[in-house]
Amino acid sequence: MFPDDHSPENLTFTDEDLLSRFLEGETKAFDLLYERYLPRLNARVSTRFNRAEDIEDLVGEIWASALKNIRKFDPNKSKFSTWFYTIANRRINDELRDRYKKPPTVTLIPEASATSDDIVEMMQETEEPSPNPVLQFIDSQKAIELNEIKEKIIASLDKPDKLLYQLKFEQQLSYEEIQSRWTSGKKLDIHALEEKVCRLRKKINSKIKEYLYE
Amino acid sequence: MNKSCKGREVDIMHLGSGELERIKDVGELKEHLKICKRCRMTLEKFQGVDMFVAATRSPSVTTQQARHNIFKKLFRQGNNYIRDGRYQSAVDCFDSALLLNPEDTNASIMKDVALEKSGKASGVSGIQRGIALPRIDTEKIIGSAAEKIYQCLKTNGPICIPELRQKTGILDYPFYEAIGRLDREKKITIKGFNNQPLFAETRPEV
Repeated sequence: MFPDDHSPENLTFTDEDLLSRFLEGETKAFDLLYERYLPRLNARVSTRFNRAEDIEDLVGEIWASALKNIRKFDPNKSKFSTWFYTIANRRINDELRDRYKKPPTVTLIPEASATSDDIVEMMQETEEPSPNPVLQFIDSQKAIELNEIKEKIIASLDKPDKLLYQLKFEQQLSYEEIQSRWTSGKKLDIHALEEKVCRLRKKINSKIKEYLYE
Repeated sequence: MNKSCKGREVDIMHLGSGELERIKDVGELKEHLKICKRCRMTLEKFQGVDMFVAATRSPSVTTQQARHNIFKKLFRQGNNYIRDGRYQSAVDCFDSALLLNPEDTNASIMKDVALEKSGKASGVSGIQRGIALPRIDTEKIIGSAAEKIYQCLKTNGPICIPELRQKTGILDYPFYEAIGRLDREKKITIKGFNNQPLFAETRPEV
């Protein structure tokens, strides 16, 4: 049996411990493993997909693929994380290819502005795992620590930026929707709004960096 | 940033977040990124923000719900494998689904069906788990589901798949098998509609 979800005892279980317990029939062990990998997996998937629903769906697909092959995993050959991320990267590539094959359901790259060359190029980019330092930072942190950092970053933003963060990043609204809901100060045109989001990204990035090189 | 990079930040942001429809010339921007290291670094920074936001975004479902969703995906995948005649893969799927939800009798039964079809066992695992296995006539199950779906479409007209499933109350298996059969028999039309889930409707009688 496992103690409470985020108790320090649970953090001492290795991935392989949790996996073997799960294979013995403890579904709680899977929940812990899932929660442990959720932020990292979300971050990885977000390098190619941006809509929260797409990310969530693909994360589920990745877990389903991993579980289907779970009996083939050999802890003597590799770490669970290596094995799992290999499956994840493959699944992400497959999903991109599928979307490329089915133009009516492609939401990532609308036909008007992107050519098939762009899509192929993006697919090629996914062959190698991203060496982005933020991804490495996320990998090295626990979910609770990441959330604490997020809270601190949001708290350090001023009111309009907090509102913008909420609307653009949390609720994932379009620029047009944000414009209609913008209540802070005077009404903004789309271009000004885009500039604001761009500045906010830079601000968040510099704040992440503070933690990254702490 | 050099002069030609001025005003590109917003485009780079759109590129990073997949909002390509907002960029005037994607090809030109990509060409520029190939030669401009600073812009590539800006793109990486913005992607870093996206990763951080995605990693810290509160999940819309609880872990238990996520587990249930993964179970459903595995169950559906298993059914698809049975349909394609890939019985060993189907067994793997139902096996994993049962790890997530050991109590589920449907997965247990379907695993036995896959085992039976693959010729490896005949209802043994179900009996081992103490489940009284009925003799399963998959043809009959799919047939009656297809009849139910057809009648529902005839009465209600075109309906999207979630609504159709709700109205008929048919489980994943044999829902999609029944839909497939009706389509093969040309009794229904399946089509996409405004990025919505598939639409199924009865064909006008000739």
